[in-house]
Amino acid sequence: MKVILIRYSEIHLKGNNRGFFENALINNIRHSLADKKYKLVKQSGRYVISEFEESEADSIVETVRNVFGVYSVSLADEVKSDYEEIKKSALAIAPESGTFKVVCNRADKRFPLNSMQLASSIGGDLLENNGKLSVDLHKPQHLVNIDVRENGKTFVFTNSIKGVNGMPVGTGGKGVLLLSGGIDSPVACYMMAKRGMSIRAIHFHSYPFTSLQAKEKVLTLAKILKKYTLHMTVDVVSFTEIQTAIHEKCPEEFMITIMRRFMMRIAERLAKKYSCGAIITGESLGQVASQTLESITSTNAVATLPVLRPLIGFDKDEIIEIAKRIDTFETSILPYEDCCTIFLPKNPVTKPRLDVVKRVESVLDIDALVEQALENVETIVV
Amino acid sequence: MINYFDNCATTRVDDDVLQILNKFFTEMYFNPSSLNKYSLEVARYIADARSRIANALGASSPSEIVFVSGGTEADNLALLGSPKRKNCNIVVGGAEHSAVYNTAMKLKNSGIDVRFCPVTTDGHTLTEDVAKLVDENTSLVAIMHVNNETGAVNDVKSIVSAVKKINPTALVFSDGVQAVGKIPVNLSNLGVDLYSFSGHKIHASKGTGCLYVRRRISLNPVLTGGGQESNLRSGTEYVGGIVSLAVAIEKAVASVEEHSRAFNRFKQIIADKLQEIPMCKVNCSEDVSPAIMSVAFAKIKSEVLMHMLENSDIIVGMGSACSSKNKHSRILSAISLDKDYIEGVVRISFSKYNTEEQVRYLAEKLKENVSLLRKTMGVRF
Repeated sequence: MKVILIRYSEIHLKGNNRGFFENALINNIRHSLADKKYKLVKQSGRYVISEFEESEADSIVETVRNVFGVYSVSLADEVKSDYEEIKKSALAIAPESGTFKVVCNRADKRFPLNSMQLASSIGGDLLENNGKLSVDLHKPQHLVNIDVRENGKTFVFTNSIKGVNGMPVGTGGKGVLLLSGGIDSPVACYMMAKRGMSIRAIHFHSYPFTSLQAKEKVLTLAKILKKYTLHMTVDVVSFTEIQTAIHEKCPEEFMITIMRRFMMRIAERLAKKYSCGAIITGESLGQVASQTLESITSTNAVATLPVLRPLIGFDKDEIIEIAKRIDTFETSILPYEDCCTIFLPKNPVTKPRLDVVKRVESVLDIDALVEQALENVETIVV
Repeated sequence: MINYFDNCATTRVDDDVLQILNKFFTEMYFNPSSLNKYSLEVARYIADARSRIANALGASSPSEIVFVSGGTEADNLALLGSPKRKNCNIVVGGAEHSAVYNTAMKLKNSGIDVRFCPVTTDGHTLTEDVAKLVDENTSLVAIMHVNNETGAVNDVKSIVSAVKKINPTALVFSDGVQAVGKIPVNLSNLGVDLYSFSGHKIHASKGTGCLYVRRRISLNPVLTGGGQESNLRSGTEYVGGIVSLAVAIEKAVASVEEHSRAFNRFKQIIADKLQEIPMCKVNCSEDVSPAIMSVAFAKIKSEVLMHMLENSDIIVGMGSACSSKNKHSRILSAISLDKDYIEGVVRISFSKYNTEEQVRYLAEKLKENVSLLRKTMGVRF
């Protein structure tokens, strides 16, 4: 019988609260596989999925390996702990050529051969059966794993498929993400979800200065991110009034700094409304004028919640590499402009001083503008 | 009600077209290549449509009309399918639609000498500029009939005669997607060898179009398969689309004069209102299609203006809809539009469904929103 073995990552380092993490992981795996028929049980520090349609095996493996907290996944044969049965299975799954190593793990000490004996004996069988194979104990191209369990069953499998690691979503608190539609913010979302954070997104929209297609693009990104965050809600905030007010009343070079401060204020209000404990942004130090240390200081000053910037030390190339891996890149580079690119000053201030920023924005009725924006939030569950 | 002024992008389907489509979707759905009696009947409908279109556009024989899926496919077939000698060159207009431009670039990348012809500041391609690029090795000259962004009408007849004088074997292809049904078109009179046009720009269904291939010109098919359309375009024919395309073309051609008069009146209404808006200009006003009016407003972004107008249920185009995903229109750059204006180009294009009342409403809203937008952006003159 085919089974899928799931190993978890750093959860095993947890002490008394390990159960909390294990439950979250198992719930998340079940959530991801909601449309499939299968049986999931926990067996000595890992999970085993069985009784699924064999044609769906690859799709289950692919889904599960993308659940945060999963270290690796293997598609295995489950056979009776009997030498001939194990041999038959090993021969069936063995590689066709190249170097290999048999790795045995014998939890059931009643099995007549110990791990070393079983490995060398099965290795001998594989060599005898296929002349194109050779053994390499140090750097084998392929592994043949034999796991003799205590329940009289043995798992036989080849290489494991790497999971995405991290912590189960839901174990790291809740955060609101500023999702712009660019390359960085979806990656920031992925990084925080990877550390177990539940995420809801905020998108600032500037229709008619940006198109409805720009908003649609963000919703498409949110749908892609849902694969990792499991749930996704986007609060679309109309930002036009605020932008035009800043443009009209404040010096051009402070446009972006003041805009970002408004975004933070609104994000914090929404975060508190939805019991989120952090604000997440895709900022990377020095990438653009609004991401210098001085600019970050200015925008950070209006937030009381921690502002998490998981990409702060990443180069653009590194961010793009992750964006491609998580399938958000192609959508992010669609050409629709987002709200950050309109009213773009020619020479934005790169080192804003907080006292100056406060003074130049004091001409605005900040509270009223924030309230007005919060009254017109469109909440979309994707 | 939507006030639709983006008829160069696509048009509403004509009621007669819809009726025919319905009939062929639900009653006459047979494959014209099959050997049953109903198939013979639909095959006859196609033959009839072919000869009606040939007739309406002044082709000398129905066999010169090849049905394809639209303008883009027709352009591809013309450029990729036309014979090319060793060491040949191709001359292409500098303001062609992407379907021609990108296909020409593909040929260029495959090693063919592709020569782009300059355009005037209002989007015209001049005969003398084309002639300078043509020589004894030229295989194909591709110059559009009506520019899709500015409406500039090129003198295709004089281009054909200039090209043939230099090299009688060179083929001349013209993209007539914005010409057929909008200005008078007589294919025999133009003298072109290849000519493309599309159905959905003149109230027929999307997915319909033709390539005119003058007699005795042999093309290599781009699509191969069952050998339909005299082996030039394999694939089961879109029968309802083809039959209704003939009706749409006949109707459009019959009313070209009448619609031109109406559209020119529309243009005048808008032009009068533009007088009240500072810093704006019409991009092409001589030798121009009556159906297209390209207006540039300084210091605004046309996309924002377009969204503001859509809030008043007015739809206009910005540059070309096919290229609106690109940052700047290649064509607007080619006509050397001043940088203050290049982002503020709005394309207004008319159809028979537009009324004078709609045009007045559009003109009023243009003035109102341009002024509002400039105020919001802090633009002062």
